[in-house]
Amino acid sequence: MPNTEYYNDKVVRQFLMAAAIWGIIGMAIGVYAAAELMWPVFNFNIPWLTFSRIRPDHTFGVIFAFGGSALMGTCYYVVQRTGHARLALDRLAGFTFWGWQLICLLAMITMPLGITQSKEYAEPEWFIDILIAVVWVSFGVVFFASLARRRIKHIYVANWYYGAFIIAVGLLHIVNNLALPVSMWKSYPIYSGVVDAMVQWWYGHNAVAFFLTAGFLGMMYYFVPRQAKQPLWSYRFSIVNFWALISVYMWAGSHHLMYTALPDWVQSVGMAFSLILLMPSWGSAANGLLTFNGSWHRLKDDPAAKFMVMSLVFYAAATFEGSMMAIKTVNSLSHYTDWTIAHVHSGALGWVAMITIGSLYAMAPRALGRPAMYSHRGMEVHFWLHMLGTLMYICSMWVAGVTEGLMWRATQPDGSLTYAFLDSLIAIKPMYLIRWMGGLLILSGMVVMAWNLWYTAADARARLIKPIPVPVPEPEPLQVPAPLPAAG
Amino acid sequence: MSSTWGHVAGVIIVMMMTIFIGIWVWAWRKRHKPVFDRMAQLPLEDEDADIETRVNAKGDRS
Repeated sequence: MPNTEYYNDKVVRQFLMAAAIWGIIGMAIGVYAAAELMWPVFNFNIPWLTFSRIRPDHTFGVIFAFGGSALMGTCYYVVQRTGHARLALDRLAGFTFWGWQLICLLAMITMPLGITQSKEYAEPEWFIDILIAVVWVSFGVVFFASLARRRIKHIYVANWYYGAFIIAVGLLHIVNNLALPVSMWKSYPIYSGVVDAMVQWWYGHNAVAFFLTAGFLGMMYYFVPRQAKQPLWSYRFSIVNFWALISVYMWAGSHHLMYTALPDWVQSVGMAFSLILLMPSWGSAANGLLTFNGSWHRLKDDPAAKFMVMSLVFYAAATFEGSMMAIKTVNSLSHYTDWTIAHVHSGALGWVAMITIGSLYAMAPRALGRPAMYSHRGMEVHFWLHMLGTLMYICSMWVAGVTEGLMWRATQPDGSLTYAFLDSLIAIKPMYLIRWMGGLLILSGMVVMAWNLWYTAADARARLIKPIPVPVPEPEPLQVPAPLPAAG
Repeated sequence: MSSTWGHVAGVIIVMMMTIFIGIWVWAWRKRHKPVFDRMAQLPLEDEDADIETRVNAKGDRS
């Protein structure tokens, strides 16, 4: 066929490998930070190795470097497959890859050195923020230009989520990071006091909403039906869920600031929206899980499907927990305790990491020109390491969190506190050990995945694989709506 | 809250509810069903193409 168009899978492969490597780095830092909480001696009195300095490295590493690379890679893969068109602007797509890696590297180096804005999940200083904005806008340009040249009229729902993710994260990033630089290494935000706090948590919560939820739902809505080998349980339900999720999530941020100087009514608005949020969250989780109806047998021997199903279970569990924790009375017990850490990791390790790993295992063989992953047993081992590690992590932190909450609020008949802060630390010490061990299992699983990907990529490294042609014209002649004519 | 704000809030709530119900109605309209059914097949097509290229790739290498 003359004028054959091929999918651009090079940039997909690059992001895939970057995700595998950043996953190990980000989680290794997490394991080290957990070890420091258990055995404080591990900071060796070196400033850049203290918990406070490496904790942002862990969060940035797993969210933006690992999660971000996986999101951008799968996004480029999905937008091509669901539009039956090659990715637009090859060179700009390449720039988004190298730009993003540079950003991650710069952030991960500067933060432990103390060059930080001290805004949670937005720590990098102003010059990195500008770079992020440039790369992010380029990412958006590549994505929407690719959508513009699609050959399938309707835009598949996964792309709606990816699109919302790109637009919202760009907006959040720019608004939250407005700052006045006073030197190369230091800037001050234009907001102050409680306004700064509200802007920060409007950003922080919507980083969860649009980065860690909408983006990964895009992954879910494409790779879950693909792995279940069945169409989505209800396509139209996914549309209702989309609009409900994106319109509600934006208003829930103030639940991070319960019982603070924030006006009481703003706290109540955050609580109310957080409760409503349960419905679209469970809607997507149910849609994903019901897609497996009739193909549950695939779970027996498909580790990627196992990862996906467990991710949806954790998504449902974590969003329910989140809505409950946003209730003021529950929040008064859970806030500032390790319960929050349990909740975050049930979302991050359960939902986000598992849907990512499942999708990477589903996508990698195709992008790397292989019939299947190099080692089936490797995937199986990874699943159980990750599953066990996640359960150890979140169960230990739940116990620790509730223990802290109860000990901190306990009072004597005369009104004085029953326990000193130190008592609660001693009480939860065994939980910190279990958390560290759980983290170690999860990290080992990531190493197994990287090993597996490396060998699956053998042909790609030897440049033996052929690019995959775009199916033009459409394989179905009677498609509704009719496909657009192929562009030269 | 002053009564003006109460009316504004009320109008916004009614508007939001109308939009929400409108999205349900839009998504459930019969004429969208063929398009949505076609869309729902998209993720499964990647797998079909998979078999094709695998055979090609094998043929080329030998």
